[in-house]
Amino acid sequence: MKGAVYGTIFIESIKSGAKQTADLPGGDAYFAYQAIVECGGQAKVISGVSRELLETGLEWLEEPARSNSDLLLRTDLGIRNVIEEDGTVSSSYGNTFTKYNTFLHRLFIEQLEPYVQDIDYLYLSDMLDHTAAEKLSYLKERNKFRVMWQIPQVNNDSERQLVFDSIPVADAIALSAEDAFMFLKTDTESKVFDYISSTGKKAYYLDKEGRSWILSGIRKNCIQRNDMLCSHKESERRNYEAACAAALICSCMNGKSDDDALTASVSAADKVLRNRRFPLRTEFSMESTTAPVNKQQVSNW
Amino acid sequence: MKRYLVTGLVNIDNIYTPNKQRKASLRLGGGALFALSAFRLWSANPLLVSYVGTDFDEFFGDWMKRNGCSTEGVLRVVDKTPRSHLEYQENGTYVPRIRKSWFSGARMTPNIQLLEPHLSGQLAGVHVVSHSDAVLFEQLDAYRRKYGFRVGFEIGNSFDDPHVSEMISEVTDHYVDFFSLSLTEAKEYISGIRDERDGIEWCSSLRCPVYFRLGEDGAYVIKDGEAIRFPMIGDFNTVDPTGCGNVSTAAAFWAFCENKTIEEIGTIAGISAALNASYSGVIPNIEPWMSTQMQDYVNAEMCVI
Repeated sequence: MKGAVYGTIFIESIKSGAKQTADLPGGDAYFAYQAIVECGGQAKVISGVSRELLETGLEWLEEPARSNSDLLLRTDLGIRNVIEEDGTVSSSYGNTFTKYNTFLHRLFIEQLEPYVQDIDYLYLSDMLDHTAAEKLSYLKERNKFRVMWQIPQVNNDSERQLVFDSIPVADAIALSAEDAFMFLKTDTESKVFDYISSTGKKAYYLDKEGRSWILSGIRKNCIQRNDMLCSHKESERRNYEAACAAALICSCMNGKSDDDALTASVSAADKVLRNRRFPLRTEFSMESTTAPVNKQQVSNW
Repeated sequence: MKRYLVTGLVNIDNIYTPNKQRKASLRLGGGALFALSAFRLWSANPLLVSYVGTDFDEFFGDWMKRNGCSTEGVLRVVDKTPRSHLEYQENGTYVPRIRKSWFSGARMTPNIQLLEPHLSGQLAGVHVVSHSDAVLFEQLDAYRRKYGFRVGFEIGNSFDDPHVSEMISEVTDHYVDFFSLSLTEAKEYISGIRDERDGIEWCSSLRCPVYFRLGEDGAYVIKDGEAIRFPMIGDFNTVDPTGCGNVSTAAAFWAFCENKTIEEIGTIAGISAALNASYSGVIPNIEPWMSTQMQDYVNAEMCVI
């Protein structure tokens, strides 16, 4: 089974006290891709990139993936962020230019057609309007691939409605508690579970305590959670979510049960985030249990 | 007859009257649209190649059809064509207000994937009306060399690009045949430019011809070691100066591609801008008498010179 990850790759560094890491790869496409590889899957990356990123080196993107990936050169300067100790993100080239550059690196769904002809599944986290959703639906039908959509943060009612309208095009969805509460205008996780169940989609959910869930099928069926906590900093929650989401669809497409897929995803995501933070990893601790999965039937939503 | 490709942003302008008292109207806008109108004025068979919304036909369809402009080059990729917000001042100038939606408009910046299907030996020129990265021009250059068309570049909002100065130098040194910016942009993008004289000196150092705009004070054409000033032409009643920079630059590029003299380039650009300014927004109906009248003006000016 071959996957594709469509998103953004950029350069980051992380501060901790007086220390700062060297350049690290960042962006949802990076975390999603690495997690798939960690799960033993095969994938390629579809993304606009900068010359700066290419020249920095894509060591994390080993051959043959590098040759098979569709990296479209778009700009000279890239996106270069610094993650501060308190989790805030500053842009080395200034927020305005970075925001502009981020848009230059995005492809339109319309432009994905040549790159999705040989894949079995696609991960993406872009906001989809009706035009994009319609095109994605067409590409799916034509090329027979499944879609894992990491639902983006919504900032207003227009975006909220776009998400509602676009969910049908996804085969699986991923979201975190923070984003789900804003999206559904609630602060109750049972209502989030209710909504996810109503979509009929398989879903990855990162709850407010940092636990991972897989929800599958109709209400009260097949809900598992994993007690390995996402103990990563707030700024990395979305990265963790991207990694889990991509690894989940990879695992499911490769025939794993929901139990095993969730375990594999969480393990892969944790490993990807930890490996990226070397040599500062000793400063971050993980709370975990040795029990791989804690099955739980929720009967009191 | 060879044609001209115009690329850049197309948007719908929300026009606000002074003091934001009233939103006057929705109006067709965007640098690429005004540039397109300029090529059309000179009967240049232009092709608009831009990312647009699926509402493009609703807003722009009539205008495109009425003015004989093909829509084969537009790619409908989002629901809504981006909106811009222009707040007019008492003195008739306007201030663009950057709203959150502006950044999503930035996503519509042209790239080589957009242009590729339309690049061929049938082109006389490709005119880029947009802040763009040097990467686009480098990629475009491969086609420029292959097909022999000329490339014009009117720079726009740089979005605080930290290397805009280097980008301009690289692009004008290697990849474009014609470049334009305003004095305001020059002061913002190039360190050391304080006034018109500094601007001319800097423009003269570039390798390609430059159309250096001074707003209502006119413009310079800087080419082959010469810098000739062309004052604003007031032959038409000025109603709205929106888009005059785009129109004059596109007209200048067209004239350059048609191998006109410096005097003709500057005059053609100026009279085109004057005609544009006599309408609110983009010229609604581009009619044969317009190019006839403008050509008569140019001929008269050339005789004088």
